[in-house]
Amino acid sequence: MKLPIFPTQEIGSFRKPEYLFEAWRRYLDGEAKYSDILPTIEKASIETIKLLEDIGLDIVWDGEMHRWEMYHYPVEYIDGIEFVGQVRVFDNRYFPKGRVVKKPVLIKNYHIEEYQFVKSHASKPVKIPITGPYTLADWTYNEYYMSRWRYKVSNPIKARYNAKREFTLDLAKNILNPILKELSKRRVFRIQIDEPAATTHPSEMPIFVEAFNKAVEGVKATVTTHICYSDYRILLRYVHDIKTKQYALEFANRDTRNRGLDDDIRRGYTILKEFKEYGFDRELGLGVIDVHTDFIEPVELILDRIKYALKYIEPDKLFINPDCGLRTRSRGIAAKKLRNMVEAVKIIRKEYGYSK
Amino acid sequence: MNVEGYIAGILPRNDGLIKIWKMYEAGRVTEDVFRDVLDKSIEDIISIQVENGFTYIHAPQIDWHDYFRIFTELDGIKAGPLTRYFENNTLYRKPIFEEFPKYREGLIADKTHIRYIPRDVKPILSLPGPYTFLRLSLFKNGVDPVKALSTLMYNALKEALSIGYSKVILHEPSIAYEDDPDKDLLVSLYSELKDFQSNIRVHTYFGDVGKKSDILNELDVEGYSVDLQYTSVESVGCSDKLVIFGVIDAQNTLIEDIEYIYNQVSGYRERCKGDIAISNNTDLDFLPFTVAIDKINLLGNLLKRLRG
Repeated sequence: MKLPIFPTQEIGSFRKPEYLFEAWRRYLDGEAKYSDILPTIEKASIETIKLLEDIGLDIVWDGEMHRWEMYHYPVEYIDGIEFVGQVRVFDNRYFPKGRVVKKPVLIKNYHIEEYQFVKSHASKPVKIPITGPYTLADWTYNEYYMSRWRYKVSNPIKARYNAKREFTLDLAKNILNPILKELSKRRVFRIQIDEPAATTHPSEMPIFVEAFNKAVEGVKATVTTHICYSDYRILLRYVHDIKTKQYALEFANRDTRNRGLDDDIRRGYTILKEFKEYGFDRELGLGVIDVHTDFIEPVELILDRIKYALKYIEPDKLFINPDCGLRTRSRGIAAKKLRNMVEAVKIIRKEYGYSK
Repeated sequence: MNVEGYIAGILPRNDGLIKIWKMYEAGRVTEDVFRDVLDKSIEDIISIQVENGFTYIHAPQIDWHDYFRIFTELDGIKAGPLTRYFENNTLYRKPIFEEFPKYREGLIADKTHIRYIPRDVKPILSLPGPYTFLRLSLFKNGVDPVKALSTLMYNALKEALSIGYSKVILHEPSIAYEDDPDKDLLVSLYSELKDFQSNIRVHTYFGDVGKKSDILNELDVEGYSVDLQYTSVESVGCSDKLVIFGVIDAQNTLIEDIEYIYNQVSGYRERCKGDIAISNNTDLDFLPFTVAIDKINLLGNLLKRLRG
């Protein structure tokens, strides 16, 4: 499938409509089964696909309507990880965190049905976002593997490292790899492995790289990755070792809202100089929309962000997207932000002689 | 040899408080309803500390979003972008010093809950350490970071101690996290706070401080903590300062082996013959509420055991 220059994409999550929130609440409170709320999920899924297509995105997903959120969904299908309670992400935003109590086993390939559903309702190419092995491990309390290591070696840092590596590789081999292979067989257009935790422990970058590559071993489909709110200098040292075609990254959150192309104004994007110096040769998904504010980025601001990035990234390698999933914003606000993003891309395409 | 025990840092919110907070934010409950649940949660968190016989009772900072947010309400400091807090899936708003900050008397009194703590116990409070505060902030318009942080923290400490806090725990994960912390900067920042030396303790975590005792011993503070999830107890040297062992792992739900910790800490006491304290390694806010409570009780049991 051929994409236009500067393809536009959403990262993954989108705000659920209120009626779906209510359905999910019933499910989470044990008042309804997944099959009971599935028709409601599918209604919201179709609405979201159509909304994103109407906005004009080139690559779409359904805003993750089939999932409560990116950690909760996979964990529900992994035997060996159990939910233990809510833990803060920021302010009063929490996520249900699990603990691993035995070697993880895949109960069911949890992405096939949702992929088939989205694929059958989308007219644009589809990208399926999947939570990666390192992030799954990092966001889980490591009881099982740590209990095996904590008194085995006297250095506590080494014990933690060994326990984390074993856990992450088990997830990569036994959970992610079978899922990705199955999706690959179904000729999925793109698989995006979400790894927001990737750089959070610099000393564990070798684990992240090893697990990522293990997860995609034998996978024929195009694999991309999304990383956010991270130190990209840490990532840069490993950027050529990871078997991904694209890095979709967050930048707008660190940027100013002022117009212009100076480094001081475009400070959220100055790291791209180092990408160039490092010989970065992959596709870059450029985050141009801050998902943590209702501020609607004007078309001109988005244009400046893209133009600044083009100083360092080749045009045929540049994809345009929000920083992260837009689930934190209302659907109305998110749609306005995305519409401006698409408008900005139309303008830059014209400047590059792309007429469609 | 005396053994102290206390919890340090921001505590988790219980499920009821999280829920009512969301409802309050969405305008579905009134402020009075929200306040009732918050007050009850504060009282509960104080009670459990009193029941465990801790040496100090920590301020119930369950309504703090992060360590820096209260300071961003001051003139001159703005709450910046959401930023990852060290190696955690937790984000804080980066403080941006746009001008030299103007301290507002009453900030600590307004933002902590000392009035809820019984009068017959000794209350303590957690604040960001000036070094970590500096490292995690952005300074603009020629604001001198050392002067700004020294003045700000001096005023905050002065107020905290004047309104009744016995000790202030200054959280300094950057000291442990950085491979090579800036000793001159640290000494300079803490020398500005030496008026309060006997009332401040440095809490370090997220890294090995076994080889950083020369730095920690030089700070004008009463004591410092060592995170035993990162630092081997054998590498902790004897010190004239109070050494606080972070024995409770707030980053894992795995329940500690009390016998193993007892032996670790006892080994240090025999070797160094000084007073010690035990605590959690980092904020219990990294745990779900119910697990945090289990671990607080475990700390209480360990304290009883060590006191004999």
